[in-house]
Amino acid sequence: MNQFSISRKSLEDKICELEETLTHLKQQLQKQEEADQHKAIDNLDQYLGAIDSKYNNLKDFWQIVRQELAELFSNNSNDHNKT
Amino acid sequence: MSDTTYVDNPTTTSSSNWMNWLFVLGLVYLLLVAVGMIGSGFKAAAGDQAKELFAFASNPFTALVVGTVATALIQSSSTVTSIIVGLVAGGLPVAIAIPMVMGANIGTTITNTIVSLGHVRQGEEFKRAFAAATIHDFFNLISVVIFLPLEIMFGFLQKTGAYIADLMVGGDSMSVKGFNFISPLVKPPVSFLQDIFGGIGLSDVVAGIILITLGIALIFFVITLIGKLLKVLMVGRAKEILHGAVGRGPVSGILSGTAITVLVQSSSTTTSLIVPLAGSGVFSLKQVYPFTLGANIGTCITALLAATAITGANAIFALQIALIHFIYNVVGVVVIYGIPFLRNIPIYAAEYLAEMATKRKLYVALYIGFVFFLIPIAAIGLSQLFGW
Repeated sequence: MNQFSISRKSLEDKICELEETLTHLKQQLQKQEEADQHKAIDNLDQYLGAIDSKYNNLKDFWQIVRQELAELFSNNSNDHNKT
Repeated sequence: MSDTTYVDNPTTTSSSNWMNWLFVLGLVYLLLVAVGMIGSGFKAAAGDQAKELFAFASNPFTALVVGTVATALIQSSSTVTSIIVGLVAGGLPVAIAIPMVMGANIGTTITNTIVSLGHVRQGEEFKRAFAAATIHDFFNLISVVIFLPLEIMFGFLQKTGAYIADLMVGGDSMSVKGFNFISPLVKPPVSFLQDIFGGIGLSDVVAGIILITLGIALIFFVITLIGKLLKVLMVGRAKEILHGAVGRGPVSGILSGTAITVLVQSSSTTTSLIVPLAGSGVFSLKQVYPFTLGANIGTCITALLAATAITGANAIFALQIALIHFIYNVVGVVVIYGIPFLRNIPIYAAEYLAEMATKRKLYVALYIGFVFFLIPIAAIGLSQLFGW
């Protein structure tokens, strides 16, 4: 076996090994993700409350929008004053 | 305090569960009575003029907007579709009701969008939650863009709905064929109310209007209460279904979304539940997407149930519109989710909007204002102006 085919064989073996490791890691990741998903589903009861707090969500959101609008208009008037 | 204070008494829990289920059963009966009230009231008030009464919505875009805005304001597509079924039973033409049902699909998506605003102060979490909420909006918008013009041109939903309704009841009134055992149970209270209104000397029109108003109020009340009760009663089962769907691919996601929506009788509850799940980052946007599509299919159960309450010659049309709602949602999922190019549009659109929304919350306000209110109202104005 010449030098070229040896190095080629060793590279192919390394690739095989890496691919196996990659598959194994992917499976581990998937298992981990699924375990997290099951844990989140177990806490579903907590999220039921969130559905009923729509009014509070809107109130809080409106405050942020008002703040953004105020900033936007104040920036615009500053720009206008500079010019 | 003794330890026994904290231990649940299984007998008490089981009997309170039974009570709750009996209560749900009673509420379902009231829902059916309410739909019957709307149908009878509309028939009494409008007589043969039902079509003329809804002439303003004979333009499909106007009907679509009526369905969208009504659902966005009430925040319950089940309520709106049940009312539509009642109106069809009272003489509202099916052709006008179809775009209204499509609009109800769009309008209902506002609920989970508002739920996602609960994460508004949490940067990345908000981005994920908002994308998970608006993917449902974009799916339903695309569905209307594809199927409304097709319906206007070919009437395929109307024809398919009529064909299946005809197959189910043999082209006759449902009560005549014995297909429906519910309508005889629903009729007495509606007739009783009509007799009372007639007895106190109210004209048919006034009595009809009162029946419609009471029916709408009752549907609203019943669906809200059923939703609240079922949320608590079915949360355990919903968890089981979700656990079963983890890691099993999109078809399982669609089926579990459908099953949970049937159990809780509310698509917005289902789609709102997945918003925090996606927001936490545990579920990806692609994973929650099929689940929201299942909610679209599951929500049709309420209209189908409502259709069983109708008696008389128009019963078949009530069943037809309920079936159309179901067919429209199933075909929408099959076509849009089945074709990779179409499937990805809601994903990209939701991700793009969420990206914009994290930069400025003003975009969110503009999005809600334009999609659910301003564009629909402008569409009505333009269609009336140009006589479309």
